[in-house]
Amino acid sequence: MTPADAAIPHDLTFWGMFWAAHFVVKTVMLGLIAASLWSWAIIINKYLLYSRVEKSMDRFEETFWSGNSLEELYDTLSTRPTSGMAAVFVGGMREWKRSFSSASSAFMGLQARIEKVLDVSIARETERLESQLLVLASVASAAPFVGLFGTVWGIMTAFQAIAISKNSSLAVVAPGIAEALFATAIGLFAAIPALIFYNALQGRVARSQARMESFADEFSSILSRHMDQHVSVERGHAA
Amino acid sequence: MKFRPTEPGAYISAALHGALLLGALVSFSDTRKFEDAAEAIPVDMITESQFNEVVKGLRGAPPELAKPVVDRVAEVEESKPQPVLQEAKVDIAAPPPPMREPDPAPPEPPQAAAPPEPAPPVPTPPPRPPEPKVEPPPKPEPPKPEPPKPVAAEAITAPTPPPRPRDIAKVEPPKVEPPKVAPPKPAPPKPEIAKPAPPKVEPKVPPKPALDRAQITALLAKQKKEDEAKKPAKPPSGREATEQRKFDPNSIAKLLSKEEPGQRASTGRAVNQTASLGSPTASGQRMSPSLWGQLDGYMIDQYKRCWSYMSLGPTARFIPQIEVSFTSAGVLAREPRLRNQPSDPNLRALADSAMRAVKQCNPLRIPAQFLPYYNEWKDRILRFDPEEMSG
Repeated sequence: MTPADAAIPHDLTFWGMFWAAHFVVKTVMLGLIAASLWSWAIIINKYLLYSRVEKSMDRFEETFWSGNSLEELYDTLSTRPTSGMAAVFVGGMREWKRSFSSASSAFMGLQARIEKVLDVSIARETERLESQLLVLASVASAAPFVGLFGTVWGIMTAFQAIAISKNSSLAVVAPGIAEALFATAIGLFAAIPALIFYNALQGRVARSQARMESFADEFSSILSRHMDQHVSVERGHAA
Repeated sequence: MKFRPTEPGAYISAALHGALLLGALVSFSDTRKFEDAAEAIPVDMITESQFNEVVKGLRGAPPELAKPVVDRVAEVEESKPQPVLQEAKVDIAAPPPPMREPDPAPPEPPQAAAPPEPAPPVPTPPPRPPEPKVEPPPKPEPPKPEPPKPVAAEAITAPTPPPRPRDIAKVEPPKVEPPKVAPPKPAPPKPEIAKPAPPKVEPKVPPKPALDRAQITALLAKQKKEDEAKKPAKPPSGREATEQRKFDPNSIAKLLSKEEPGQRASTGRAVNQTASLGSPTASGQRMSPSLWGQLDGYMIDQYKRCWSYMSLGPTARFIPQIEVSFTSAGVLAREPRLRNQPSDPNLRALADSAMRAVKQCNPLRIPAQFLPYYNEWKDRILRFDPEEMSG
């Protein structure tokens, strides 16, 4: 990898330190690197997902409040998979249409049913957004400890080697400790971004959820207004 | 894992990690060494007198400290008797080599030892013709013959090994005599008494020829026997000595040093780490308070004699302080200086008288015992108190 310096007995490059480490420390390092890889993958995916979801929400809200007929909107949206606010809207509309297409006496619990459906679809969407964020949380909290474990183990073996060689000069002590500290460095390297991005993503999820809930409330109020109009029209017909 | 365009995170993450690892490998590969910082050496400022105290040797060193420094005990092979044996005359019993005293002087070459002949004290004298030559010296020097007598008495009762070579030089002439003279004469107790000696010496010389040969030979035989008993290992004859003189390559190898020149340490009979007249741990001496008191007493005494000042009634209290510095002989090293110049003209007289006293007493007598502490008393301030003077 790198030309080993002949004057220095220990190769102090990353590679040299990794290969010189104890088996347990090596495992810890590899695990931590894998955790870092995974958490970064999650971070990137979630960022892309959230920006997509937020953009689609903006677009949907624009079309929703543009004054077009809800029936048309539903027709266009129900044909393809939806996410976010559109999914909530599709869920609510489906329940509404089902109630109307079937027997006319289904108005009694329609309001409650629609609210339930909206809640469920919001929960489903939120769960989709939040999935894998817990991995970031666990990496953020556990990686430093795992790295510390590797360090303690490495220092332990280093001291054992020192005790055997009966030489405690700094040149003998230093490489072992450097190797051991390398494990903690990797642990922190994995944990710090995981922690920061977990908090940031969590905030975005909460914002999206709040947006969907407010939309659901507005949508259910619109539906209930429609319902009331429908009932009064029917009563007028009846009268 | 199937690539989904909506979730490229895993690939981007892997690529980022790979890039980061490469960067770390590059940046860590040239971890620079710390610069070798020169260590700071603490420096203390010391005064001249402190320095003198450090380097000054031990004044009251016991005599054994005066020996040369020896780091290592010398090899035993360098024994001295060998040269003595080689030139010995065939007839004469080998003189017992000097046994004690690590004397740095080389063994006396036998040729040098032979003429005086005293080294084997007893055996030689009677048969030797040169003896009369040796004898005359005692006559002009009366006190010398005296001291050996007690020794002689001892020599008869219990023959002692020959004295050190150093002593021989002094005592040798009388020693020739002892066996003959001692029996008739009880030695005076004090060898130091010089006056009675001359008359005694005179009678001594005549009796010697008078001594019968039988007695001498008996004594000789006795001495020889005892000598032989004492050191039977020594080859008495010159033949073996010549054998020993033969060229022996082994002995050359023995003589050659196998050490590196730098490793060679000074050698001697006994290890002596102490440098002569000094000690690795001791520092210079300081004057004790009582010594200070003595010195002050001496100085006050002398200055009192030199100082004459008539006080004209009660004046303002003024004590002239004069700064002086002495040489080690007690002479003023430079002009004395009045530290507190008085403004009152009346007092100026007092100050002047003090200055006069200092100059009058100029070669101050300072006892030799204070010489080692010269550094401590070389600069002094003398205070001339008129009240003390009158009192």
